[in-house]
Amino acid sequence: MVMSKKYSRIKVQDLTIKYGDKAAIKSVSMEINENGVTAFIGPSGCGKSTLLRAFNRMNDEIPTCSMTGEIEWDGKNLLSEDVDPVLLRRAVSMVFQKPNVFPTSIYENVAFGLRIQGIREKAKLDAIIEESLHDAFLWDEVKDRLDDDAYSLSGGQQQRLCIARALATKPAILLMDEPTSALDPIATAKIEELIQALREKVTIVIVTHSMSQAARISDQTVFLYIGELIESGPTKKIFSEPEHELTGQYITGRFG
Amino acid sequence: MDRPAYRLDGRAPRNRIIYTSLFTAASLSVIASALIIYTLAEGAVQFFRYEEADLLEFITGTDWLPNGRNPSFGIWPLLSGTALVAAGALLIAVPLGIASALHLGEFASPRSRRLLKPIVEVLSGIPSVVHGFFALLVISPFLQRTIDATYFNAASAIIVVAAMILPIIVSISDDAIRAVPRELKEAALGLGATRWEMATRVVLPSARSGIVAAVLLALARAVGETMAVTMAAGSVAALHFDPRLEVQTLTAYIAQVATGDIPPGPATDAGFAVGSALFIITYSVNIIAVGATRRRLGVKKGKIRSFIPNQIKRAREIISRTRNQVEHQISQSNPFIPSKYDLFRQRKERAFRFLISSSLFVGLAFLLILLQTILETGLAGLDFDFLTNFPSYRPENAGINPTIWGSLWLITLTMLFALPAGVGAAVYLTELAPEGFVNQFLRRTLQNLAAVPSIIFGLVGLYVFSRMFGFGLSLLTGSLTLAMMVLPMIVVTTEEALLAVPKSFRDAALGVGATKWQAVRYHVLPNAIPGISTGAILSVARALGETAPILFVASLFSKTAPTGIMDGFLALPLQIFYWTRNPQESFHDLAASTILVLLILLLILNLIAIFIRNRAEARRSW
Repeated sequence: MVMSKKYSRIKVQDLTIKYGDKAAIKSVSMEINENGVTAFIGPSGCGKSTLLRAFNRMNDEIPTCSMTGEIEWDGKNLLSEDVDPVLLRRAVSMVFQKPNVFPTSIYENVAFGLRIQGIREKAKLDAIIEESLHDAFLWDEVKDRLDDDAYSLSGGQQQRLCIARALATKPAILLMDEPTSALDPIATAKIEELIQALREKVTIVIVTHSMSQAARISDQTVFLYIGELIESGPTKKIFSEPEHELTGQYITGRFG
Repeated sequence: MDRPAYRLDGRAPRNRIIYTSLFTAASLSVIASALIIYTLAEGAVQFFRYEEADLLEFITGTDWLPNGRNPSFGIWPLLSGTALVAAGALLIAVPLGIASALHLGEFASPRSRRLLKPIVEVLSGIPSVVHGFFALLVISPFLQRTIDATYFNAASAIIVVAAMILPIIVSISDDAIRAVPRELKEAALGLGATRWEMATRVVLPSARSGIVAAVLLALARAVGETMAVTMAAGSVAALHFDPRLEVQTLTAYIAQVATGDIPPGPATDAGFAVGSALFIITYSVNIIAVGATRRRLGVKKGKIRSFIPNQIKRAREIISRTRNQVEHQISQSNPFIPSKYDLFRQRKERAFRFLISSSLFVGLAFLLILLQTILETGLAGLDFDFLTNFPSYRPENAGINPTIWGSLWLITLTMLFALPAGVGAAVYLTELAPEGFVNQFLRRTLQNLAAVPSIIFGLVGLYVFSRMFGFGLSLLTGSLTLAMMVLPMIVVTTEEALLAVPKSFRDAALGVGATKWQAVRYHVLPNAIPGISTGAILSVARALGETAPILFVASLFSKTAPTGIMDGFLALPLQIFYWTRNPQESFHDLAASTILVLLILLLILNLIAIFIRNRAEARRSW
């Protein structure tokens, strides 16, 4: 999986996201580097998941949710009316908090994103599915049982299957919403290792409630607090010499 | 501070009287089931004692000619009539129902959902006898003009039975569709699926077991449906599958026995044998349906079964391979420019969404035409005289005064029996009974009782309450029969109300040393009362509109209002039935007026239920 094209950075400008009248994200502006890992951190309810779901317009699926501002990527404003979220999500794929495998076979789970694009040839499907499962560090564990029910996998395996499923459509950006919060420490370590391997190939934006995880895996960290962006920058700098007092208090565990 | 002396030896007293009476209430369903089986078996045995009757002929015979000198009792014509009506109704209602449920669950905005859901509820509240009136006097004449149908015909029955089972399919499928975890739907959308692809590829397969159960329950209902089928499809038992012609169903034959169109002797007792067959069929369907609901998402291990045989699959692959010369690029270079295939997907999405959003309007159109017809024919005759006069052979003098009183007596007595029994059973089963074999057995019995066709309760009422207990054709017999029928409904709604009370209330009471019963009595029941009353009122509505169970035990010729529980009675739906069947057209107008009275009463009951529910929801602090 080699990227054929370099993308520009993702620019978020004056983004406000509201549920009904209540603003969950208040006028956030920032930039996200490509081909790296960006972590959103902050206490629960600070809006980090809401912000993440703006990048592939998953917020569109919540009837009360409205977004203003811009997310600029590849010369497009992702929030504009003429960007079809269905097409967008092929380029900006998502992995969710709880492993949400479909109640079918392992094979069909990975095939889903491809089938809906009309790919029907078995050989082509086989090749992409094998590649995706490889990329998700799952191939060796499942290669002999691709037709088994996906629910027969362990929680950690299920989450890696979800990652493989997301990689199969060859996204440029992979969004991960607390992907390890439902997993045990060993499964978590495996996913973190996987993220490190994937960073070469896709731009990863991850929401995490664990500051140590953010410190371990990300290049860039964004700290949010009650819907506002308090501080963002290189992870090393945020964790060693935060500029904002709140950031310092949060990363040292004084609240949150 | 002094500590009180704690007593830890011995056990807290258990209120024996309460436990015993609640257990008894819970066991009533077993007694009711036993009575049903006893009635059917006893009656069938009596039937087969006649020399004209023969078990082998009954099971294999293709002639159903109960009257005449040389009667013949082969059940196949009745089975084919039942199958024709049920299959036809499913053919209409299943696609419409699933499409409607999908629209409600996945595509309708919350606002239009709030507007559309009541259509389904109103449709499900229309009594069977009203559908019968509509089928015979509106649909059938139309079919006679258009498709050359006979006066009585299977097609008109099929249409109204479809309308009756549509709400079952919609509401159960809707529940199943809404139970599909949001995570799964988001997973599909997150991978670039359109909403239609998400709905068909993820939501429907995940909700499959619930939808299968919905279809099976609808099938059981269609097979057991009596009044509309009796009124519309006719009474000629013939082995054919032409919907334009007259057929008789299993239920319609039993109804024919009940209305006295059949001479005493083997032809009458055959009703019990037919009832047994009907019971066995609906019971089996229900067992399979319950089994289907129990299979939950993802429990099943191994390969997911594919419904497409392998050969077809392979053939499809070859076809698609040749077609796919145009390579579908997983275009990384510009994800925002839709490929040809993407444009096709968008068109497909729009077309299907339009199609399923229109499915609900079929139900709406049916409902509007039905209500309009009834208003048109019934409103003129609905005056003060009509409400205060007594039945008469002269339509211009006829009124429904004793009928209204009969219905009011009937539902009051029914609830007097069924409400304490149902609430008691629910409290015992959900709150007090230990989980285990007995509990499970009682629950299953209730579930099965709920699926027994209503006409079978009529047989039990006739055989057990009227003849064996000697209550005769009285209000007591009628209300006991109806009470048996609404019992499962009251148990289910009460259980829902009890389970809606948070567990923490019970824990709080138990935590300070209350017994289980005290926790229920002082903390659960008071909070569940609005829910229980809502369920009770809806059960009253159900009892008020039921015809089939009291077909055997009401007295058509009671010209005066009942004064006590041993008096004979007539009820509104029965009056509608008799007047609709009267060849004189002016009686049809009277039937329509009676339907209006019945519908108004049902409307009032439903409004009260809604009022109670809304008030309770507004007041609830938890």
